[in-house]
Amino acid sequence: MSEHEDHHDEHGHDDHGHDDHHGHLQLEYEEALPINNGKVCLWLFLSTEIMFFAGLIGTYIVLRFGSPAGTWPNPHDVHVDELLGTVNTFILILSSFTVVLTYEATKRNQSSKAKGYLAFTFLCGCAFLGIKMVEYAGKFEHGIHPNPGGRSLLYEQADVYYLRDLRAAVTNAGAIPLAAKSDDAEVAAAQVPDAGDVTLVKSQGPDQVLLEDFLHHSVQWAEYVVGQVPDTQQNPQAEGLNHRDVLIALAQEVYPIERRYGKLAHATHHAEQHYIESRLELLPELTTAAGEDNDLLNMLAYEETILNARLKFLSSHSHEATSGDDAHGHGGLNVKLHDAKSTVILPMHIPSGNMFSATYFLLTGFHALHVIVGLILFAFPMFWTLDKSRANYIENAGLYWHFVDLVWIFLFPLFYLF
Amino acid sequence: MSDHDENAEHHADHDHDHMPTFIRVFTGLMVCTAISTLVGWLIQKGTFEGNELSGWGIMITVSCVKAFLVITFFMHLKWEVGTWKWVLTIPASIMSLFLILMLVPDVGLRTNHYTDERTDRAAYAIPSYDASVIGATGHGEPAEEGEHSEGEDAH
Repeated sequence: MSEHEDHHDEHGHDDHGHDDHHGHLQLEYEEALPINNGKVCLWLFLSTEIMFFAGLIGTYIVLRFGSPAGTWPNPHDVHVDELLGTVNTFILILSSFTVVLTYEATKRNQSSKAKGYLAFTFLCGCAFLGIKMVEYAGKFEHGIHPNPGGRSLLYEQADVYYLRDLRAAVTNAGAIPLAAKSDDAEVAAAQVPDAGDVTLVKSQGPDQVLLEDFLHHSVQWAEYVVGQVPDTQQNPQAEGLNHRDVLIALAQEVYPIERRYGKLAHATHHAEQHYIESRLELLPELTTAAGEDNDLLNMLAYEETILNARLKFLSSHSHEATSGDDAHGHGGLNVKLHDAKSTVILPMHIPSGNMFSATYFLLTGFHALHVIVGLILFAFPMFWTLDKSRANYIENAGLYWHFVDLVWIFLFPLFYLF
Repeated sequence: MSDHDENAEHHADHDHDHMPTFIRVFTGLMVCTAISTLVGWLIQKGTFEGNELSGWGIMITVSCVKAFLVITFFMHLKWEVGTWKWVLTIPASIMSLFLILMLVPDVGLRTNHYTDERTDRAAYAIPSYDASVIGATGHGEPAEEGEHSEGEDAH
């Protein structure tokens, strides 16, 4: 046994000896790759990361450009600010550059210089995340959440379900609807959902006034149209209003998307005014025809109240429209409520808004997660002496950081500029 | 360890040439970002009205240029020796490209084959939308086409 082992040892030693003395045999022992294992692993990891983000970005591209023409929200419609995006892009490129400088300094054993660049890179990463946080908070404040059916207040379509939820949101906030006769206080009180809750009714701040006015001149009008007025969309011969347009115009009062629906809302307001004026001319006739029928008289009085409220709003609104033409959700009721420090956010009609927020939060969220990992990788070397022996670590962390930058290079135009 | 040191020294040989390159690349990236932002701003202003595709094309091209700059210079791929870099990067790039290409039919076929429901939810320019036209053709058609046939009917 021992002889055998010895033989083996000798043989192995022999080989090694050969290696040392004759350079041409080195080929047998050369590694597969002329780089260190850490870098191989990192590049392998990055190649899987490329496919990970390619899948996500590809899905976004299909959803974004596969949506029917004109249904994807413009960046401004969903509070995406290209200025913040540009600043973040500059920050990330700058940090990528300083990572390169860190690596160069580390290779030359200039530890303090390297640490300075590294600290700057770290701060850049933090600034990026800080701006991201501001952006996310801004979206949440305006009711843009990624979960439809949950917190999201984005509606794909301005339909009767939208109207129902709008009504619920307004009355839940304590707005009291118009009654059949404005002086009939008992009826008005009966229609308050929580008449016993005094605080609800009594707190009439500026936001409450806004909500109640909106309920009176817009929500109740839309309910009247849907319930009473013939729909010209289903039946073009009918003398009435296009329900769909009326509901879209209503949604535009909450959250205007000027470029897309501005003209439509304007035309619809004209049609509404026309309808109301002709109807108001007809009402006295109908009232005399009703005679002693109290129910009918009450109904007609109610109709008159709603028509007058709407007419008043339309005439004041047309002045507004000519004086200041605001785009991108500004001038809408939701922004007014936000400015009045109200906690109420009304449902909004933004086509493909939910799809937008799902993809936006998923992609930028995953990217932000990668930024956080990068910051952790950069946190350790702050406590080291950055000399040549650490160059490999710095290079690998840098490669990862450049990849994060690379992903943002594509996310930035796709989300902020398209 | 000796392996690492060799590697570092190997790089160190070229160091003096690289610094100006890095600064140029950094400047190039900044300029590219400015171009993208400018094009995006022009699209918002409506300069590319009806021709957004070319604007988007410019921005994506600029992004590809930026990606190329970052990979080649910041990630040192230009100065890596051997074929290993191609082994790792080319398959990953091709796979990610094909991943997106596989999804393209959904994009390419969208205009003629999206459902009525999606058409209903589409934004539309005012009087062009006509539900009866869409009902007649069986499947959803873009709003502009509906407008045309409506006009012909009237004549």
